[in-house]
Amino acid sequence: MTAADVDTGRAQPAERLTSAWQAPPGLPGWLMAVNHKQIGRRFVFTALGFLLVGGLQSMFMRWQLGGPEQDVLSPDAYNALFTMHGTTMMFLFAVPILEGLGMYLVPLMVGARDLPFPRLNAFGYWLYVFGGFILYWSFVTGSVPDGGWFAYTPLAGPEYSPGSNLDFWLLGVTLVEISGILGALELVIVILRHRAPGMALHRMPLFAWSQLVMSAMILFAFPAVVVASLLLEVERKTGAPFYDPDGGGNPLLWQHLFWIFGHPEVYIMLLPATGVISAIVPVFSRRPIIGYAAIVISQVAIAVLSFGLWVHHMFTTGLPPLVLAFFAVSSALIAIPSGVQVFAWLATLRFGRPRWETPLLFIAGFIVIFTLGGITGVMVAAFPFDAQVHDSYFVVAHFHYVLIGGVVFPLFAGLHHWWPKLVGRQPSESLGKVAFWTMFVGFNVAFFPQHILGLRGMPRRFYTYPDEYGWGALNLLSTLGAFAFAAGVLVFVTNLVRTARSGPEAVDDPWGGDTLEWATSSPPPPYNFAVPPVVTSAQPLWNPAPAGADPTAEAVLARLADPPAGVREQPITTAVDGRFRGVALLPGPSYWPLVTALAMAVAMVGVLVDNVPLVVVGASGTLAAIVGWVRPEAGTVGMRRHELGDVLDGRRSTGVWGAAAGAAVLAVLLAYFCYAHLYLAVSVETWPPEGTPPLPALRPAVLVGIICLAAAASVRAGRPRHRGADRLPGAGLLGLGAGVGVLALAGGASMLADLGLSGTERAHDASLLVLHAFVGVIALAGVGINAFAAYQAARLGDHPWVSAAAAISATWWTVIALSWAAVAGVVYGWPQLLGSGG
Amino acid sequence: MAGTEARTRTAFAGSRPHSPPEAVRALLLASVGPALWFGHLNASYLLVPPSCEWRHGWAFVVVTAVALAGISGAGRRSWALWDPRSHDGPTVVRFLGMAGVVLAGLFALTTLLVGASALVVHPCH
Repeated sequence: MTAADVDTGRAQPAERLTSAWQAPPGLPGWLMAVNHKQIGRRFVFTALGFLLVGGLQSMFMRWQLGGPEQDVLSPDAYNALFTMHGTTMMFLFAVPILEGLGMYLVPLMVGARDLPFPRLNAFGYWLYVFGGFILYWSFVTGSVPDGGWFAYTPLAGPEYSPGSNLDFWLLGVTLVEISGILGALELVIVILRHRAPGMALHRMPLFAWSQLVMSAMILFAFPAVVVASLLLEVERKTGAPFYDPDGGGNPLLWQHLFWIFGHPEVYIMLLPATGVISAIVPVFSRRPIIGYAAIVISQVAIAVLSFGLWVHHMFTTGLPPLVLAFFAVSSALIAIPSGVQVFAWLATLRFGRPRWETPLLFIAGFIVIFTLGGITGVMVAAFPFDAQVHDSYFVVAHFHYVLIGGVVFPLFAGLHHWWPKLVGRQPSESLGKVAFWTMFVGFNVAFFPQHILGLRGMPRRFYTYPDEYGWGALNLLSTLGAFAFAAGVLVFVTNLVRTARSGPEAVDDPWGGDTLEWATSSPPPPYNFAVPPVVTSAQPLWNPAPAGADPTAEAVLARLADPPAGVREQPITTAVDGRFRGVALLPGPSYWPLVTALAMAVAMVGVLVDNVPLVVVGASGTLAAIVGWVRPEAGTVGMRRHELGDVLDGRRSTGVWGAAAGAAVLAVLLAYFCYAHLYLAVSVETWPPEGTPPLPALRPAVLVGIICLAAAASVRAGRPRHRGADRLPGAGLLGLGAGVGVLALAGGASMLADLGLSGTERAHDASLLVLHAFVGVIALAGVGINAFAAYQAARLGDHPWVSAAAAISATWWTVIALSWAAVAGVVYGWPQLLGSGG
Repeated sequence: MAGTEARTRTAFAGSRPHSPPEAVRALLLASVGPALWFGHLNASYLLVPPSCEWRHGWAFVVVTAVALAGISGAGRRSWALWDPRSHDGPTVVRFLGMAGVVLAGLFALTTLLVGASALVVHPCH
């Protein structure tokens, strides 16, 4: 079976398609680019750059540790380097490159033309760049973060880290995490709503499954570190004592929030890497994967279990042994679904006809290294053993076996495998094999001795050690291995770079792949598929759909090959069974994502340097850029409604799915804020602390909630109910919604003012203020959305943009009402339930 | 072209706007096991201090029994959707039914072992 068997319509005239999907030429086009392939490639290339920088930092550290009592690095420089090495690898390399690979490949694999919100995708990339820039600007100002990639309090608090080092870390990481969340939103929606007709969940490529699971995990995990970072930054800037026991806070709150993010983070990196393996193993074994369903179920099980393991990073913090037992059991059991996947790949190799080319060699390396890392993982899941090796080099060895073996090796397999699709040229096999063997040997020489060093008591994060401890020989071996490993990485990257410039041109399907990305050219055209495909199998290239498999869909899809000028159309399918549902119209290139991200970064820098005018300029710029971004543009919505029969817009548009997913992220953020409040309430001895003013009765809070619901109802009533009919969309009702929203805001603010809270003295008060501020900010955004929608409704009348905006606004106000209900429950209801009244 | 247009519109007019309810039901059932395990884990965590105060671990037995009952109920319903004895080809509902059964089994085991920890380790230790 070859790519030629799947009709992608490349023979048809495609000029209009190309001009509709292609960014303008030159620098302006580069800055405006929104196409998933351009943005995905940028993520991959930028992350590879960060890999080299982070790797260079580790080389300096290994050089320092290569012998006892060396002075290559000062203690402070060592602290800064291990902090930035971990931060770079976790936040700037691993997750962005895996998401970037997903952004590039997933739309191709599921038969889509682009991600559902191309501009949001570009915005996410710029946020990532600016976040990384802020983190590395710290080297220029001499304030490099030095509190570890985990930034534990109280070390990272204002008392022990008074400089701006940790501010660089907190603000930079927050921007990068927001970028990660936006990427995850894109991936979830493209997978659930834009799959090829016929691609029900049980026919989805395993790589797409892994990206779906990873993205869902990001939506639940990343908000935890965003909340933790925001609270710490507020503490550092204002003195609000969230993590300070003297003010009624608790430093362990940071560890809980951080590891609720941090442990799933390991699997957020690991699962897409296993998706790469599940994509490569069948291709190089020349047979369908064995245990498709088992792999999918294992991925879901691992994702869920990973959210119940965070306490195993806190085994030595003094928690009761029974709590440790609960988490030890769950930690050990994650080995079951992990093992199931490994056995499925081994079985596929065993019963296939493997071709031992570079990608498969990296997979084999993964299986060896990751299995060893998994075994030591089960060892440290047992808390008596963990207590012995905690903060020792045993743990360093364990997590490098898991992360380099589990992420870098599969990732490199994937890069070699898909490089022809990314750049249109074939990488060198011989250089790939040299890179693999150098990396494999170098890695084991570097990290295996660290197990022994850890068992002999060598602690982590110490910049040197005395000669008499006898750690010198193993450390020297480890350093030599690390340099060999780095040489292997350099050979690998050189191969990619050299190929991209002057390698032989790649054919469409150089490996005989089974998934849809191989059905189009290498690299693909800007629109991916002239005629989006229909599928009837999990291996659409090995078992292509017969003509007429879905006549309804095929009739419409054929017409997408010849769109009106400048119109970008993309099929929509149902989430579970992949039935063709209609067509979405996507926006094109724009400067607004870059401008918005830049304005946000300016606001962040303002916070960093305590410059209020700069914060105001950045925040105003962000607001103005958002308005410019979302304003309706001619030609992007509703143009082909009558031609195609059913273009999905208004309340059924992809935008509403995006709003719903965004609302879910807000709900998760709020849940973590509430968790922080309740954690402090149950962990601090006197809560609320003495001197706290009594809270009012629940009644005013209920009143504010009712006003929020009234705003939601008003917006719902103002929504056009008959799309395409001539009824006016009720600009007045949308405006009324904005007015009622202002009333709700005023009511909430008045309640808050009456409380007389002192956020800088008591963690209790600070937490209440943060919870109210959260709802206040989203309510303010709701008022803005309503007012803007009302203005556009008055201007445009019955327009799909207004319909979609009103639907989004109605969703938003429902979220505000629910958020307020949650806050009121936590703040006002909880104390009354416990009878403390305060 | 006019014929295609008419067929397209007719087909859309009669098509379902969402995935079929049995598929959505299968998906929800598959999520019951993981959700109950997560709830059980956190409830058990929260119950440690009060259980020490009560000097008894009966609360762990109760929450474990409730969670296991819920998980096994969802697993049984998923089994009916999977119907492994059927000779029909793979469908998304059967696929999700199988996922529900396997996830229920795995998370029942995890829940059982988490609950059993309370029989071995005293909450006051």
